[in-house]
Amino acid sequence: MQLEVKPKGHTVFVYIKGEIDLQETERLRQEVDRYIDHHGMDHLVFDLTQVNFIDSSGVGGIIGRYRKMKDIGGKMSIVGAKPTVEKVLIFSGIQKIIPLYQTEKDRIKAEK
Amino acid sequence: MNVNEKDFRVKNQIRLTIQSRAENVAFVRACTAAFASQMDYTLEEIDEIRLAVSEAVSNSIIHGYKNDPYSQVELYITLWENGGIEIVVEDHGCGIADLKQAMEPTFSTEPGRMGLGFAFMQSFMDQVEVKSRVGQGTTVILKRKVRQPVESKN
Repeated sequence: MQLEVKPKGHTVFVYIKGEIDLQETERLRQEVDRYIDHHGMDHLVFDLTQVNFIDSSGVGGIIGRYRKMKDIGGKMSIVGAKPTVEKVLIFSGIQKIIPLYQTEKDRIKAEK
Repeated sequence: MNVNEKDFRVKNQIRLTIQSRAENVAFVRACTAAFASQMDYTLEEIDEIRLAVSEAVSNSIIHGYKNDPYSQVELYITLWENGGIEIVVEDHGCGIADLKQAMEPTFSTEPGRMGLGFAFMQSFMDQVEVKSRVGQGTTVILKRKVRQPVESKN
């Protein structure tokens, strides 16, 4: 898994490439939490365009970050999940608490 | 489809033993996907098999062995002539005291975990069987048929 955290204004984008499983979720948690703790932010966007696998550990990791954002009064969105990843996210019910968008354009349009 | 003796023949079989480390889950997934592609599964079906095996092995590592990396998880993967895969994931860890409760979606013994592992396995495989004994370990058997059995690849 490759992970890149990029701030744009008050929104922070987390670009992930590869697979999000038990091993990688731990790294995701550490790196994103460190960023949240040090910089603070209003909005966290997970860009999953280049993710080709996620399991329940990965879903748990994303929900954990959502809870952290909620605690500091921020919000979170997910963009670009491929059908195979989206199926797992939807099965877990994550879309009830975190909005899912096909593209970044869709997100901007919806959250304007 | 005619059910005959040939249908129950083993087409191919592998056995894999891994140390119970989180970094080995990706290896098991890749290995299972490569092996399953000897059958006529669609890419979507292979993805679902990868997910199920990932959940089962992760469970053994996190729950069975409580993240002790020096234990072993064993896998026996069988491809059947009639177009199905059977994946046996076995650990010799702590076992599950209450199987019914463990298999409920959103139940987890670990705070911060989703408790969705078994729900994923059950949704994405045709059959999930779990045998467990406290103090002795857990065996999960995952089965998935090829949707439309055709002549197997060589």
